[in-house]
Amino acid sequence: MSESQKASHSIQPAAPSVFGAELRLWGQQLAANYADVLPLVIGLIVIAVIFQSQNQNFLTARNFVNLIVQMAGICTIAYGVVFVLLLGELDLSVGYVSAVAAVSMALLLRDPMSWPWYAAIALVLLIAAGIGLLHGVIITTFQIPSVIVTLASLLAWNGVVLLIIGGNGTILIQDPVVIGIANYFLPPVWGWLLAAVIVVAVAIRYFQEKRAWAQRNIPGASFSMLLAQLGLWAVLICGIVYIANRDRGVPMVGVILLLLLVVLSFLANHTAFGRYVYAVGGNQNAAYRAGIPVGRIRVTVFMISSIMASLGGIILAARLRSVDTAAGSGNLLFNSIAAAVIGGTSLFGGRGRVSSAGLGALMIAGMENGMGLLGLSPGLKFLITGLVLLVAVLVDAGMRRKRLGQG
Amino acid sequence: MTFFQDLQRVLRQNVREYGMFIALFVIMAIFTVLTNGLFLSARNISNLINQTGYIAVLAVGMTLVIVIRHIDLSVGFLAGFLGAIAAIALVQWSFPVVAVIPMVLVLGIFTGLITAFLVAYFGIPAFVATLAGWLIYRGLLLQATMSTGTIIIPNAAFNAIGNGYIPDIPGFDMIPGHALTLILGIIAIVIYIVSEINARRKKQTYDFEVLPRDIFILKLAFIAVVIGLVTWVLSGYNGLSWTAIIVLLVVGIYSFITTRTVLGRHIYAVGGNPEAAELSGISVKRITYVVFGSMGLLSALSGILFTSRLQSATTTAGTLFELDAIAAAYVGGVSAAGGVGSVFGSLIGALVMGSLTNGMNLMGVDISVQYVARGLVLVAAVIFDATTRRRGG
Amino acid sequence: MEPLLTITNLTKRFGTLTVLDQINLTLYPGEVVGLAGRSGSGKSVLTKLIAGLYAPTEGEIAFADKRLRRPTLHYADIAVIYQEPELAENLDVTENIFLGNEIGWSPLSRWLLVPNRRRMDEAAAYMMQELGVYEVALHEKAANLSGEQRQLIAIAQAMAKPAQLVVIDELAAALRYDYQQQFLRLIQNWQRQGRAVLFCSRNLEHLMAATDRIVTINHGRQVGNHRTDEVNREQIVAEMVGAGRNHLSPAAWALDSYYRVREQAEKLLFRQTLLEKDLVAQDTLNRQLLEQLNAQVTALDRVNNALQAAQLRLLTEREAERKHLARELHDEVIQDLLSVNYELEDMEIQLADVPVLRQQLPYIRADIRMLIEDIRRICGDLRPPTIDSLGLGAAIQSYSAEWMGRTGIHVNLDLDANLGRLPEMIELAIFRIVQEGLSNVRKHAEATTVDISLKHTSQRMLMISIADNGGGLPQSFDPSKLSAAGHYGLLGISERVALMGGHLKVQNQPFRGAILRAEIAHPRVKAVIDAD
Repeated sequence: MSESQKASHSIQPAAPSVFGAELRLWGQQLAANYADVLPLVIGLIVIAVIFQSQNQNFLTARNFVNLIVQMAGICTIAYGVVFVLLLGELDLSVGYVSAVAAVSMALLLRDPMSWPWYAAIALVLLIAAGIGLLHGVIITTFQIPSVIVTLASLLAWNGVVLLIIGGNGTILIQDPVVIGIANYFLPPVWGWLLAAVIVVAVAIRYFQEKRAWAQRNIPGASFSMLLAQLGLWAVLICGIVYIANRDRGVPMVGVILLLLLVVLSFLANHTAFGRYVYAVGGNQNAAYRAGIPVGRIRVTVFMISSIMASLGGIILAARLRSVDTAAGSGNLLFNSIAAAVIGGTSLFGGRGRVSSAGLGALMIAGMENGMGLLGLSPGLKFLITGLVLLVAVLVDAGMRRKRLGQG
Repeated sequence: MTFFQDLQRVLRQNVREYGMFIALFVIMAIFTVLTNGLFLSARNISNLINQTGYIAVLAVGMTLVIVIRHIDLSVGFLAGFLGAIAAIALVQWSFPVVAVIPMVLVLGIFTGLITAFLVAYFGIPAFVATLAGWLIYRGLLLQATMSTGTIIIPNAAFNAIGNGYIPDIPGFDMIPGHALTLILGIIAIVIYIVSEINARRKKQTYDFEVLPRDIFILKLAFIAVVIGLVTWVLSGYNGLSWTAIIVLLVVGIYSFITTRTVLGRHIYAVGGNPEAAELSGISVKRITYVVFGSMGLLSALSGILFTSRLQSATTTAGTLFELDAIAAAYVGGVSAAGGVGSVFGSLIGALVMGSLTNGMNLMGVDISVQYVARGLVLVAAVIFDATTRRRGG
Repeated sequence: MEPLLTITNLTKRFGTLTVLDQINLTLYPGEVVGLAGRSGSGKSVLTKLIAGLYAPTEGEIAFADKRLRRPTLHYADIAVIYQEPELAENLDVTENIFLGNEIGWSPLSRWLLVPNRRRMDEAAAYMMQELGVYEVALHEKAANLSGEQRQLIAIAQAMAKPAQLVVIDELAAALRYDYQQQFLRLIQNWQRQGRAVLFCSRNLEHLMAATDRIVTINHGRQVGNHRTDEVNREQIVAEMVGAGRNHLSPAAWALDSYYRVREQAEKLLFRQTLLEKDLVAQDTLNRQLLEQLNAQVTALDRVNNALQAAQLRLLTEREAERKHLARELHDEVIQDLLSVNYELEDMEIQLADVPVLRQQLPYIRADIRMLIEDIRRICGDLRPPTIDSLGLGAAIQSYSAEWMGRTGIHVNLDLDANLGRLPEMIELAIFRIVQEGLSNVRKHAEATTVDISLKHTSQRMLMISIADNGGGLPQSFDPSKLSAAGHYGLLGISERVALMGGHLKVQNQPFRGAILRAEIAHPRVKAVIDAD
């Protein structure tokens, strides 16, 4: 007996070293946490490599800061689009709604009105909320596909923009605060302060999460794992601030994007409303039976979409310091939808993150920026953007198929 | 029951079916009044038909796409791009017209199949797949016309498709105006009346509900008068245009396919309930390929008609066609819930949209207002669909 | 007491089809009312009307004196457990249980409530425990759950609501028997807490067990309304299927017995699962035992192998020892004896004149020669003298000739002509086998003839057979008990054969004596093969 026991013990493989196990756990957790972001990061690196090899100006501090300013508009709109996509709906009107907002703001700030900037922006946001309300109410009361309603309203708002601008051609914006939204850069010290605040916030967040997992008796990430992630964040954030400070500094829009990201992420992930949005996108019947006011959720989401679109429009107008008849046209709509979709928000509803839309917007803006640097023709730009959107959608469909296959 | 009570009841019950006629009638009446009759002039009616042609063709295809619960946003720039290909083939490669047209049509089918592949094979929602198509075809159009800008087509045969009229019968001068058009109109009226009476009799033998006799006669008379009036007006000008013939042919063929063939039944079955259709042995994928393939084909045809009408390919050709086509389909009674909608209805819908554009252009309405109006009409049509659908179900 | 739910003249039509017709029902707090009806009798529609998924065609539903119109109005006060639960597939178990009913801190409005995940998890775990569920992970996505688990979550959803009224639509057959029983207990708990329960079911067992009152509907029409303790199953069944009280059709009884049988089947199934669990436990125990046994057998095998190796070594060493001994005897003792003999011969010549010696010495010399012969024979037994120089064949020949002479038993030899030289070990082993075999024959067989044959059966196999014409093996012969029976000779043979990797057969020949067959593999010496 004792002989055989000894024999069976000696058969067992030698236990792997503690360090190796730790490393493997790290790998698994990293892969699990960032699986949906990985393609994006790879895409970003590929884009950076391609454009840098074609044009030496792509990876410079100056262009980096430009990129942040350029992506701001798309990113803000994409934040709103994420919510609509989470419901499994689509808002095609965001482009021209942003134009309507920009034009109205420009008119309010201009001579005959001469409103102060805060009043103008407040009214514009109110108008946008009204537009979203209109879309949502039509969609919910008549139960019409949102694609069609927003397609129609796309046309209508385009008409409205042309109507308002009329013969003016271009309306200049002279309010320094509004212009500052997209053209003010934080002094270096403030930039570093901001970086410190973010790192501390991320740290608090991580340790809170760790504690929560521990309380629920679920084995979470190890302490060293947390430290490593935190270190990664710190390096990333400080790197961004460092690069930005080598040029003009961290742009104000960057801070705005961050604030919006925090607020909207909180809304999506840590409020009942956010859960309801996910639930409606996941299974409308279930949400309805659970007593969730599905219709009001839908209307609210379209209002969020329109409000974010109007904010995007304001940022875009501030960057150009003017509004003209081309506002909201061209690629804006597609870029913002593509940013959300590339960011991993599923078109089938119920899956996606606000933060990923930021990365998606960075990718789209990077492509726009790079293609601009290379001096590609508008036709090629459309073509490439379309293809990128297609690839993102294919990836989404593929992932969905895989999920369904598993489940 | 009196005649008027009957009429009221029939109208209420069939509001979906007659809504578009009423809309067309109202729009025409309004524009006739606003333009002091200019709208109903022979020249303008002829123009209207030629302008509506390329939208009507798209609307026919879009009807089937919406019937199977999809949507195609790429058709506008696809039409523009394929039109540009036709122009390039004619002008730069000097291909003969007889080679160019089949080539472009085949290319259209091919692009339609690509969309279908994305939708059917990968399960991508059609609106996103075609949104990507919208960008890609717009890019391709710009690329194709980048070096030359607008490509002017000097080919008379090609340009006749969008601008020419059918020849008159030589030496037939007893009747004033365009004799062949009138004869065709009369033939159409006779065929219509005979087929309607046949259909009614067949329904009666199976004890189906039919229109009351007097209302049926009223309907026949009304349609006959409308066809007669249109042909009369047209014969007073240049007669039927080739565009009109092509559109009528397309509508005729598609009507036949959708109402009289197994394929048509299958398309509607898939639209009504895809799962049920799949379970009863219909390949939903194959139907998707067929419908998007036909959409591509009709986009190509639309592109040819538009290019021929402008006698040139431009960098912005096809802008917002998809919107007009979708609106036309909805006005024509397609339902967003799938499985409902007729090809003939979309032709009427296309006429409504065409009349709207044409009338506003005649009045010199600003383009911005036109956008708003077209958007509102689309919303109104969809709301009309939703409310009548719910009352029905 | 104020009624909680009052349904008056409720009618629901879909198109021209009347699904519910003039239903009247009142429900008081703390009351459990059963709604019995066959499938298709309108139970589900009534549930959905109360839930507010449908609007009534006529009549009204009043809840706590307020008229119900649309669903969102009272969703917090009425919990509904549907027959086919709908869950948000992308949310996890806890989120689904508390969907629309989150626990947390709310700064402004209900929508901006920040859910407290920890408290929700604790509450969910508690409810799951109460339902007797232990295998659902709370952070599992609903998409990965089984039908039964989904049903349990639907029940937990109802538990999570502070609802005054719980409506249950057909406790799904998806639930296992023990969960069903647990659920019936839960209904009683609700009743004790003062909640009203409307329990729609086709299963009379459940209704009789859990309800205060049973309302029967058939084809959308209300048929009966009884206190549960005043009514018997027969009457309920009769009402459910719409037959008159006195003439129940066999079909109706078939229906009732169907449910009874199903109930029993479920009970059996439950027992079976319990048994299966026991079996599984037993099985694991068995498997563990088997594994231990295996390990022991392996260890024994190893020990055996070691023993065999030791024995092989022992045998080899013994042979070497014998060889050495034989050589010592031959080279030392015999030579000494021979020289003694020569000296005696010399002495005999020199001392020819001593008569005593002359008489005695020849005897002594003859004794010594016999002694030498004896020692030579012993040497031969210890180590056949011919085997090293002339090989196996010659050794066997000379041994058998000598043996024949000694015992008088005739030996027929049939040796392979191409035997050649084999490795020393094998030659010795075969020789010993022949030796032992012959001595066996002499000891036990009472034979007159022995046939020995040594043949190649194939390139690599040698077959030795020793057959006699004696009395054969006794009936009780058992090869596994050789040592116990004292057959050390055969035992030695079998050990040798086993060590050579061969196999041995001992059996009786028909009408003759016993035969011993040993087949041994041998590596041929290369030179011999070349010589062939």
